[in-house]
Amino acid sequence: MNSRRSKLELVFDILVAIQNKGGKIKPTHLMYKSNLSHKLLSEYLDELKAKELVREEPTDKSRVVLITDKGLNFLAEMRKVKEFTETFGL
Amino acid sequence: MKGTLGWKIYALLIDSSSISFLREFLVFTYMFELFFVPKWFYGIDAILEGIVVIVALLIAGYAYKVYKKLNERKFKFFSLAFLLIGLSFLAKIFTHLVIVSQTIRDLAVGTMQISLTNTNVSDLFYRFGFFFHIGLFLTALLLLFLVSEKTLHQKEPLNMKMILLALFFTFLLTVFSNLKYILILDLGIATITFPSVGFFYLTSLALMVMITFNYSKNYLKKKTNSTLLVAAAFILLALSQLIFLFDFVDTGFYIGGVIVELIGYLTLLAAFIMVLKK
Repeated sequence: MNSRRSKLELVFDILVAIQNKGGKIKPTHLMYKSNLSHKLLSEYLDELKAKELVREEPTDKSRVVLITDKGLNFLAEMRKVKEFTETFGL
Repeated sequence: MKGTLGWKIYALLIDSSSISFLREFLVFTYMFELFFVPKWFYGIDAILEGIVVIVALLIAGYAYKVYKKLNERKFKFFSLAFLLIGLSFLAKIFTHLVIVSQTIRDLAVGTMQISLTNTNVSDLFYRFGFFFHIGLFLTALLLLFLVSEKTLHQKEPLNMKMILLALFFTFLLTVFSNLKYILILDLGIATITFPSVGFFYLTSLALMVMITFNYSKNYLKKKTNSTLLVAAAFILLALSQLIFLFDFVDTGFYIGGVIVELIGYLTLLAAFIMVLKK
């Protein structure tokens, strides 16, 4: 199923998963929620961190992934893009 | 000339059979109109088509913005398709301006005293305007069809041979549609006359029907208000091409076609606004 998702859909699923968990999620939970392998998720998270859409914070036991304000704005824009894509059958 | 065994197709020159093909295309002896438009409608249709240009450029602009963000080629081709639609209608508006300026000149100088040079220059602009309108519009529809077929998506290899072949036939059809020819289909018991520009409408109708089919499938899959509007818009646009096809029978068909076409593009705009408001 993952291989059939476009890059847009993958990024969208990752950001939605973080937002649905109140803007903060453990990487392992994110892996299950976004239905991605550890390797693929790490690659996408590196890209999203470089673009400042998410950031990581250390916790007592491990670390959490947080969505930034820029990430929330991007998600809102992505929802429009997704709607545009579906509406015009792209 | 009578055909009893099937259809016989005769391509006849309207004005003279002795003019060579090249001369026919480049040299004009009088203002020849490819589209049968009532004179009072010139200007009005330019305004209505101006709205179409704005709608097409808005959609093209947004799709290009998405392409710059995501770098997925389907958005680039979709944007290009609507940009070409916008440019094709700009070319058509240009031809209206040529007609209007020619009419004003006729009134000012007196119809009987029009200099041959002026008429030829106007005719040249008019024909090139329509050449670009037809060529750009057919290329746009071809692109839109390929995008809606998902053949231009990132996952599919880009079949350049197929695209170039399709573009070649589009070019041939554009040249043929611009000629001053008429086809007479001799059925033995009846003859049907058909201007060459009708082949432009026939092709655009065929492409629109195929695009409409894809967008209807998209609506049946998603069943949202915006996908319904897009499917409805393309049904209207296909209908407008069908109405334009009978343009040579009565100029009323041209007016009807322009109005239905405008409603089609406005429906597309409504779907686009719905997307942006989400």
